[in-house]
Amino acid sequence: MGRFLLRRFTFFIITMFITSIIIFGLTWFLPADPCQIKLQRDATEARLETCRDDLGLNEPPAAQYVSWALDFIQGDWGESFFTNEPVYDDVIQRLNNSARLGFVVLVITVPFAVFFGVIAGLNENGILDVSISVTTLALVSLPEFVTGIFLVETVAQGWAKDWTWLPWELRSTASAFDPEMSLYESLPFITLPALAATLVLLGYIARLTRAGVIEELKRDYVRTAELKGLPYWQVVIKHVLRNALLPTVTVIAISIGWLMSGLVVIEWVFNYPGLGRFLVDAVQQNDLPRIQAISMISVSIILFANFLADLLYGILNPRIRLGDE
Amino acid sequence: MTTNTQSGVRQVPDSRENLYRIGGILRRLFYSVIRAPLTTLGTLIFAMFLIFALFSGQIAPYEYDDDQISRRGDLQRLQEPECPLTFLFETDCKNPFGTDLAGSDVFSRIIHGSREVFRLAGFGTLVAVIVGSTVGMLIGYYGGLLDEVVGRLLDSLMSIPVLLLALVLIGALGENSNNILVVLIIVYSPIVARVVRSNVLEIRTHGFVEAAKLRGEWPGYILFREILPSVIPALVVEASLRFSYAIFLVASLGFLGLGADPPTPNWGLMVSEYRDDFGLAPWTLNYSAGTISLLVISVNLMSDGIKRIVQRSS
Repeated sequence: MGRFLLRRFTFFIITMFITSIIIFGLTWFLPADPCQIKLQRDATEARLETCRDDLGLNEPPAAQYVSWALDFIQGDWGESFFTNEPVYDDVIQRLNNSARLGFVVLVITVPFAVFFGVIAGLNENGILDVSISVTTLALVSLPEFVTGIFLVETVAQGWAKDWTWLPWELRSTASAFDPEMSLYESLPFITLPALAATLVLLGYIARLTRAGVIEELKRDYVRTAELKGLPYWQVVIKHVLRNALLPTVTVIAISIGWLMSGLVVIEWVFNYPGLGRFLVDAVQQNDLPRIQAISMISVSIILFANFLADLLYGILNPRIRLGDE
Repeated sequence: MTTNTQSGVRQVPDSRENLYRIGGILRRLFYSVIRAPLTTLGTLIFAMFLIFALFSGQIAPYEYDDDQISRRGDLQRLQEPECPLTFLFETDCKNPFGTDLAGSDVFSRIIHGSREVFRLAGFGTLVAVIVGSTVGMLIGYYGGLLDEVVGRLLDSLMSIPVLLLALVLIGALGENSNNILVVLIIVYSPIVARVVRSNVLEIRTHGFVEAAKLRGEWPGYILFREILPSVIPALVVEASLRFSYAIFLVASLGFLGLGADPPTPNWGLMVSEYRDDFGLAPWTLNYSAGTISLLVISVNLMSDGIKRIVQRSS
């Protein structure tokens, strides 16, 4: 187990290292001159010079990367080109908002998706399976903004307008959202975006679960269990699901990755002040330090989630852990 | 058992064997189509959009930025959809999907937009497939340190979600519709390269590659004449999948207001513009969002079908 853990951890660190080089290279060396972007119309030769000195652009590229990376690890993420304020506080604030939304999405999605996926897998090519598969395929295919706009324009401002039985009012934009609110207080703002994200993610996980169940059902041990005379439900619960749901751990890690980018569009549709919306704003303003910080944070979260999933998978499945040693 | 029957078939002369094989593939394709009506439906809808894109100038009745309501001198600013379903057969139908607040014909904008979609997503996917498969074949064939280094780099690139990487690239390159092409190529080449690499690793071990090496063929010949044909089925599946994601990405970026400026008939941009007009002209949003969904779902059905057919025949 120790060697397995060490190996996974080295892998995580190496990927993180290369990814950070890619992100820094793309944002810092691809644009012709970051200072030109920062100063825009105020750019005079003298100002450009001082700015280049401040940002360290006259140093060799490798030295720039090292000092950037060291600062980044210590929480100094530079200052925004646009507001000249430290990037760190804003990004952490937005990350908190996104995490809140993502948490609600995962809590709703995973149980439902696994349930539908198992049902579909057990009824392969039956009516239930076909209807679940077609619906999930459609949900996965639809762009997030189409689902999101449909929820706002048709459901929230149409059908659901006069629904009085809802426990809280549905807000179609989060313009009055206050980060100081408790999770319960922010539910009116979170419900619709969470629903939009759920619809897409649900299809995604359900399809993966279905594939897992179908694969396990073909195994020899299932036939043995059936021939032994075990009742069907026992074969399913004790034998099939134990193995078929193993990849669900990985699936949740993948979902966290999906949430990091899928929420970009959804937060934009619902005007939700999360990390994804912040990134689009930063891209529109060419605010390079913000772009760096947001993408680095997102990628670290994704890679760390993958690392944890690998670990859990290794703990749950001895073949992986022992096969590695 | 199987080798015996195969050697039996080999008695047939070469050229006729090829003929039989092509006939078999066509027949199998025909039956697969009949057996999978959803795939057929998806392919037909896709073909329709392809025709729209190729002949958008001939099919669209107006230009995409033509304020034809003012030109006609109507007092009423907006025209509701007149004949959304029967426009092909009615000659006096001016605006099948109505007009938007700028007075442009929504139907024409959608048709012109299909060219934009195919230009960006189609061309981007094509270049990404060419670049990706070349890189994948090289690292898969030569292996060793090259594979180790390039492979690790590709893995790291792929660990960044596609939309995130696209946004970072646009932030660095600036907003511009040609940069969207660059983004598609950078984002999708590594994924194609990975798939091709894993296929090459398997094919490399076969006898015919060894034979070509012993014959003294040069690497280019081995890669493109011996290995590439065996990779093509997997490549076709991957390309169709990438194309469906590329449409998705182009539309999403347009919706976020990146890479397209207002009068451009970019579908994603249209949806985000028409969303503000939903109260006054709901049809503008309905038809543009509906069109995106229709194309994306049909391409998905098609690539799903291609995947199944290729898997079954291999």
